[in-house]
Amino acid sequence: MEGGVYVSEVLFDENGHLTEKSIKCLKDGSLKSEETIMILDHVSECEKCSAYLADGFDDTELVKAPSGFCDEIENKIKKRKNNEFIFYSVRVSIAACMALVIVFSNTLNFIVNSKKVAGIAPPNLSIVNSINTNISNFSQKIINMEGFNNENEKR
Amino acid sequence: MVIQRDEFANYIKQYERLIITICLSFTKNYFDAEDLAQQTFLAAYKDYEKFQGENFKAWLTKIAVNKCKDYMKSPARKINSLTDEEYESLEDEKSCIEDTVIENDTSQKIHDLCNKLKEPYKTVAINYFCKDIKLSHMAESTGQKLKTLQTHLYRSKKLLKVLWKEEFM
Repeated sequence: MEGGVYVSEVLFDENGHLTEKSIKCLKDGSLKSEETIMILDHVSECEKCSAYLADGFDDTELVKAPSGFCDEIENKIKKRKNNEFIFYSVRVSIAACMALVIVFSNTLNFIVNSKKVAGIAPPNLSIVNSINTNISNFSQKIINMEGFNNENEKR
Repeated sequence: MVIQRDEFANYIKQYERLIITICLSFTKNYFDAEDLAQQTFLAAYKDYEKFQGENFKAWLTKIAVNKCKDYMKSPARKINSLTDEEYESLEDEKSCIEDTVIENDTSQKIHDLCNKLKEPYKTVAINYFCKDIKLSHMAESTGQKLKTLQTHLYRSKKLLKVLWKEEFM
């Protein structure tokens, strides 16, 4: 299998997928390191070829697994879950401690008091004042007019 | 979608041999393949929610291929030397010459390499890889702590990975 073009033609079909020959070479261990990496690069991205590779082995071709294989994985899963729980508990504890420190220390007061209150401008009330003056003048005129009308009726 | 541990254990039992075989095809080292197969199942358990629900076997194969790809491209793979302390855990070459039968059979290769280890690693490795005895059963029958046996197995595997490279690659 010398030469990149020849290798590609043997290992991959015209659509770029794995061939029967490539699976055979993989099984008998005749692939070179760079050819193995070419196959790995392709199969890691290709759904079709991963399914083809998964179905490419008969039961008689499979090597045995140690009987404790499953137990070992389950132990690792359990250990990982315990570690995750410990890590989560530590994070929650640290967050709770920080919250307590902030609440019971003077930090919040300091932040509130450090705001510049003097910088806020007082509201402009001149328009309100002029409206109030106009209303009170108008009401005085009505009172005067009522008094004048009352005196006329008495006469 | 979270998978139950029992359901996942069934998947492991169903596909463990296939995944080890696929990893062995790429790495050509049984002990590295067994390690990568474990990593594959752990990754599959962790990322199970990403599984679209069509072909679990193919999805698992793809994870295994990615693990093998990382392994093949890793510079650490090429470092296969043992420390002096680790060499002391191996039998002298002369003592096992008569046992060394070079066959192209994986089980025979595993057995030969396990025999090259010194105690306590030899017994643990032979029981685990050749006699199919679980660590929990070994702990019960010998009275040793499970943790101790796990440590012995871990060190045996480390030695066996390097020995495989030296002998068969």
